[in-house]
Amino acid sequence: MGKTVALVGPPNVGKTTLMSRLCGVKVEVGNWPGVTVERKTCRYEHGNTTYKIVDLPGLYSLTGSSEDQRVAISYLLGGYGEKPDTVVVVGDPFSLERSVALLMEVAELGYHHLVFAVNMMDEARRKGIHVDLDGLEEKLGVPVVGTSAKSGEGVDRLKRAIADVAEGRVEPKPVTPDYPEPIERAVERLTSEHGIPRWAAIRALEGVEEILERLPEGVREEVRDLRRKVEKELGRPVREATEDARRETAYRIVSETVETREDGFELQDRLDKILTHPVYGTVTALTVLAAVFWIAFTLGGFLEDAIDGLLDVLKTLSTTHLHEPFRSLVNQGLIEGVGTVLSLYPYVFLLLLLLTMLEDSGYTARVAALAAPLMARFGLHGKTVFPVAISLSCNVPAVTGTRIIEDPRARLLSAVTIPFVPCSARLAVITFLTAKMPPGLRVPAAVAIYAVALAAFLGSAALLDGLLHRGKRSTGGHVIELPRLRRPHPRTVLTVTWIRSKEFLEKAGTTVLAVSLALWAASKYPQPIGTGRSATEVLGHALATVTGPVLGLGWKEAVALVNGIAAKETVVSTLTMLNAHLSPDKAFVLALVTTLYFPCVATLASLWSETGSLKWPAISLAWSLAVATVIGAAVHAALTLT
Amino acid sequence: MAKPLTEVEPGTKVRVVDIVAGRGAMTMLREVGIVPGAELEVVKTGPGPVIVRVGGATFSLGRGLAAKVLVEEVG
Ligand SMILES: Nc1nc2c(ncn2[C@@H]2O[C@H](COP(=O)(O)OP(=O)(O)O)[C@@H](O)[C@H]2O)c(=O)[nH]1
Ligand SMILES: [Mg+2]
Repeated sequence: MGKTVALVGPPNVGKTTLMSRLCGVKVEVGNWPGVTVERKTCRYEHGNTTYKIVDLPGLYSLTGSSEDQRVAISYLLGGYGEKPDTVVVVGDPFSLERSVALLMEVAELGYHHLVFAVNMMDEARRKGIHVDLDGLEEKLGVPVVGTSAKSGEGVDRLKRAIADVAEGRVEPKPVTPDYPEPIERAVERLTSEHGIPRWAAIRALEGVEEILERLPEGVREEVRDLRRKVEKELGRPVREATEDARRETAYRIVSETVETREDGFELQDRLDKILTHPVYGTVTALTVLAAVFWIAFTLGGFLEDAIDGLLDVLKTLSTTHLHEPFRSLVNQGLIEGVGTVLSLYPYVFLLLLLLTMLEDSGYTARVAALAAPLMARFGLHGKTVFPVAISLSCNVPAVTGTRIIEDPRARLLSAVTIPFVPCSARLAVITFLTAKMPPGLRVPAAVAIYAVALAAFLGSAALLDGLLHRGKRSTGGHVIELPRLRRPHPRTVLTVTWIRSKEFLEKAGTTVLAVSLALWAASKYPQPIGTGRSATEVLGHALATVTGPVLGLGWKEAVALVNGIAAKETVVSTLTMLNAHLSPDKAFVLALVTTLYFPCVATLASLWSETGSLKWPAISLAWSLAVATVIGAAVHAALTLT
Repeated sequence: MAKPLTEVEPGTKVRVVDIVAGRGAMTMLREVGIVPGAELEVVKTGPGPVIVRVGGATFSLGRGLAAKVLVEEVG
């Protein structure tokens, strides 16, 4: 029989890494039903039992009301049709209090099948931090396992502890905090008079909706009265008092079991002062970003050449061995269409690899903290930096990723404007098109396009902010956790990079392939291309009556732009298949327009589900078309004049 | 003597005395354990964001927000 195990813990303690250690790489990623909070699950065998692991969103506490927290609470209460048999609360030795307090909260949801994992034991040892695991186990009343998701240490012991608890061989008795007298009295009354479990009584008094809903009408009223009385006695909300009690108990337990050496943070603190300094920090950030792009483009170029060589060999083979129409199908549809897009994968992989390394090292959080005041000026939040970084790989998860921003205003703004940030598909287009320019101009041209796109993103946000919230300035207040700075962990970085970049490959095999085949057909029928009667030419020439005068783009480029609506990469495959020869000026304008003119279909869908209305995708679409046309026309005009 | 978090010397340990902020800001701070009575280690107060350590975890606070946290030095 199968058992379900939930992983709970604050962000950055290593839950996801631990999960991949428990199961190997077979992690399934999806969404929680109804909301777009990411849901990761995986399975492993132990004894004769299959264990299903569910990675819950990172949480500081269960009392909050953010989407993530509601998902976690609702899941733990069985709201998604399953309840975990066992909950593993994960902590790290540097801030163990938070996880201990969380453990008590989870216990108060009625769980006593609990295991406590102290992860990052390797780093603790290096920093001279000693954790008394046995003492902790005794004080918490639940099995405690020290682990290192990095080295794999303790993972087998964790599996055993999970099995012992899940199968009832061990019966944990989780610690309960000491609550103030008035709360204890009210809890006592609810438990003895109405038979409500202690945990439910506490949560009901705190006002947790999910619990109140489950109580009979009359009892609910009584709880409300009791709560008012208790709050009057305490002079503050019940929730604050219980939170403090949990925190204090957690603090006491941790101070009795964890020995910290005071100087563990010296180097990090010195670095943080520089990294978040308005001047030094900004210079560092710009230098790092420049280095990332330079490395991705230079190394990517070598790899692209290698792939191109391979494709040439394939083309020669097909030309000598195949007959029409298969020859043109393979040469144009597959090799020129899909192959050209695939040859750009090295750029995508390298860029994502470097960005993921920065994230894993903890640097991205410093940039977010540094950028917060600047972002606030555009109505955005410092945390917008995280979805923007994801956006450079793909806009779709970035739109979803704006959920980490608590302020609903800033979140909406970010979601609507973030599609301006060039994703990896557009990186491919930019790389491909700027290669048509003189060598010395290629990198500056690419950088200029990124700069224009970023300006469009920030400018649109500011404009929208002004329209939506006239006069009301966002305060720029932020609380951002700065994870410990560390050397990036190769296994984690590679896994994440692969997950993020494989979409590009999948799209090459699906959307790009489909569009390439359609284009191949449209260029052959009803009459072959060159006669002026092929479907492609008819469509292209019709569009070119507009794109020609305004943007200086001919019929082939117009067809490429139409195909690009499905996925931007197809701009590359279309141009290659139509054998378009672009002048440097034309290539630049086309790259710019492709970057700005249209969030791809998947992004619009994500925007729809995220904002819950068709209004925002429609606005985003109309606005980006307008921006692309105006900027494209202006650049075209300027280039023609000179 | 209580003073805003922004005016403390880096490297000192402080206790939160009061927080004079609206609901939204209050929730953000509570969430990470910055509540009256909590002990913080001040890492950096300026220029740029303020950095504090709460129970072993490090947080960056916007200056405006940090100014609303009144603290007194301990030990
Ligand atoms: N040194 C060390 N680093 C770890 C360990 N587990 C996770 N990490 C790193 O901690 C960071 C956060 O890990 P992640 O699994 O994303 O945390 P989550 O937010 O809890 O899911 C990553 O950079 C991991 O490489 C560990 O046991 N030891
Ligand atoms: Mg995670």
